[in-house]
Amino acid sequence: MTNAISLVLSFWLSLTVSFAYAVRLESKDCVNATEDSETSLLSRAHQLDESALAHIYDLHYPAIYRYLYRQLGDVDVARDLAAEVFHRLLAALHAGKGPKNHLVAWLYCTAHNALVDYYRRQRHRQHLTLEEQMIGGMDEPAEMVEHRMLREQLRRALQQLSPDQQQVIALKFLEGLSNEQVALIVGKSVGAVKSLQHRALNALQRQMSIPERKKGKDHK
Amino acid sequence: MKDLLSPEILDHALRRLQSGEMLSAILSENPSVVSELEPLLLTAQQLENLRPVQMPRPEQQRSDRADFLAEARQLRAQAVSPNLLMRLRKWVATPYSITRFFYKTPIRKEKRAMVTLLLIKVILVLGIGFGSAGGTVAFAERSLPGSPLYPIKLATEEVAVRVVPDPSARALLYLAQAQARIQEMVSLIQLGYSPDEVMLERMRLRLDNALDLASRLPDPEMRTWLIRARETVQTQQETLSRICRYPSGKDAGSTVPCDALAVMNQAREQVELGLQNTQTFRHRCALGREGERTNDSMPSVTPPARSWPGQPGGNPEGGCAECTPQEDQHRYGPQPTQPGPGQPGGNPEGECVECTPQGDQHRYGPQPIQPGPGQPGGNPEGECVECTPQGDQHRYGPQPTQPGPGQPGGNPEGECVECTPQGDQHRHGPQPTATPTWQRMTAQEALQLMYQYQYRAGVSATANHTNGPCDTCQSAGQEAQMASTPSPSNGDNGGGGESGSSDGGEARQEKTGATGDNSGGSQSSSGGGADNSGGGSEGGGDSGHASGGEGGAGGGGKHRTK
Repeated sequence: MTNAISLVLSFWLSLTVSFAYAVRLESKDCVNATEDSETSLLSRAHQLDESALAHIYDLHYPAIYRYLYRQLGDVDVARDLAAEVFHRLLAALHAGKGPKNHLVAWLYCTAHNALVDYYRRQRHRQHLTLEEQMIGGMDEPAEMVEHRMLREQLRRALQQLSPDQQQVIALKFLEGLSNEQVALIVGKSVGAVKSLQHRALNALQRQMSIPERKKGKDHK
Repeated sequence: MKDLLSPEILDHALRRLQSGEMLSAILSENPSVVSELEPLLLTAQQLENLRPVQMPRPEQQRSDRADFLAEARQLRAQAVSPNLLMRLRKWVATPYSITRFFYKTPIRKEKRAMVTLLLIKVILVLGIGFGSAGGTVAFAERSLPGSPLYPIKLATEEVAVRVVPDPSARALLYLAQAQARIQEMVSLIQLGYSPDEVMLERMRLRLDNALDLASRLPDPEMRTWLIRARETVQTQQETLSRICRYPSGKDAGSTVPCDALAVMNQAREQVELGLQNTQTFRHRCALGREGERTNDSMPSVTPPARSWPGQPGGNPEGGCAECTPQEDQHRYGPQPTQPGPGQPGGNPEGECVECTPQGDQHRYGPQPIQPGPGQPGGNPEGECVECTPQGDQHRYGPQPTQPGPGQPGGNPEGECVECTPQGDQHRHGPQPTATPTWQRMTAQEALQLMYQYQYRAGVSATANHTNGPCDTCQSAGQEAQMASTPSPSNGDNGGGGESGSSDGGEARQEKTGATGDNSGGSQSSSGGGADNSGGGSEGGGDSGHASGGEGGAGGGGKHRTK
């Protein structure tokens, strides 16, 4: 008899709890959906709306590709990693996760993670990427080689930095983002970004000077 | 002193460098940190070499874009979200639900019911609910009146009764609930509190319901139920007897336990009656239901369907206030009380008349209470007259008051005249009592009394009640035969009656301990011309349901009742 009463009470309780939970979730979504256009775009992207996803791709793929290429120096690898970034975006949206706002920051962050993963894999393979083809504006072979060596040196030096330093250097000096944008992407304050930038440049400068010192020793 | 290069200075210098200013200009403005600032700015300048980007070919870009959108379409085809939370959310926010108004963008409907995962969640919620609700009910089971959980306990019991479909089980449940009320009384008393009338009423209602349901069961089932109920009631009687006999607690003077005991005694009598005569038990309970319906139809505020001892309007003797309509072969419940002598409408001479029905097979319930001799309104001489109807097969209820002695038409000598039907060969046992005998009787005694009336049912003698001697008087021998018949509840009915007079006999029953009864023994029956004082000693000597002396008056049988 007690079980029958408990069953009735429990059923009523579960209905109440379920309804309240559903209403809470919906109200939360409702607030997010009215923030701005990007949020509206993302809301459609969460439903895997094809036009929204195409718009996001067209808008952000070039920046992500450039970010990756500048650090990798390889078109194919940069394409692969850029495709990986957008694949992760789709997976996140399909799982109901993904960015609710600040899509650009989410994409740069994902690209950085993909890059770090790539570096980790390459470290085991000891495989060096092939230098990109000649970028226009350099006709002299000597100049081409010098620039190519400099870029290789810079990229090697960058890879010696910590991931945070790499990210700040790439975002600030390669992508030209402001301190505020970098802070949003890396998830730190602007002051922390400035300090990180200072340390990153010091470290990069030290990495760049090492071959020069080796070169000087070799000359002696 | 050489200044340290702060991040702020470096950041400011880098901004100027990115805006296109010359390096020398920037360094000249920060002479103290030139040595530190210059290599950093040069490194930053070198990073500009990484800015040129070789974009993929257009066909490669189109291919990458197509791959991305194809993957999106593939994921979109998987309509069911992999996440439980997401599925529940979308399930709730379908276009057919009210919640769609909260969304500005269309909701992608789940194409497959989320039965499995939703069931898991519902089971979990139900489990939590079961635990909390069950725990509350379990705690409430031990609560006592006055506790916040006690209403939950009562509600639980009420639901339990409604859920049980089997009448027998339901009747047992009611009985168990009445038992629980008694245990609550005991617990309260042990804690130093006194039970109130509400608890008594709750117990009474449950007992009523239990007996009522039991009366509707088939015979074998009812008998089994009654046997079980008898054990339960007996146990509770013992418990209540102890409490009633040895009250304790702060309010030791509370009458509720004793009232509850009286209620339980009454229930015991009904159970015993049901075990001995199921038909009577059914009839009695059916009448009780009719009485309840009558009470329900009345715009009365009084909730109890029946009156119980100790309650206002109840029978002080613990009897059941069920009245049988006339023309009924069974006579239940109290009869209308006749006005006593000296009361308006009463017999001013103290004579009261009660007629014994003939042919009545079952006579239950209290008889009219008549005031005793020496009591206000009573017969100062202690004489009362009861006449047996003549020719009436079913005559119930009180007879019209006879004119008293000294009144016009009355007996001038103040004699009581009782006319015993002639030809009664088998007149045994007690005569109808003035006091409500049924109230003091157990069920066995009531049945015996019923059997006596069955004997008398065959008697066709009639007796016209007159002020003078009856013309249909019983012979002395018949009276003696009657008096010599052993009676289970009455005292010896012999000597006085026999020696009193040869004209007739008078059966007199007295209430136990009533001094007026004893004194009444000295009354004389002048109608018979014989002093019946011997009967006084008989009545006084009998401490039980004593029958007094008999004094015949002109051969008529006379019942004197008090």
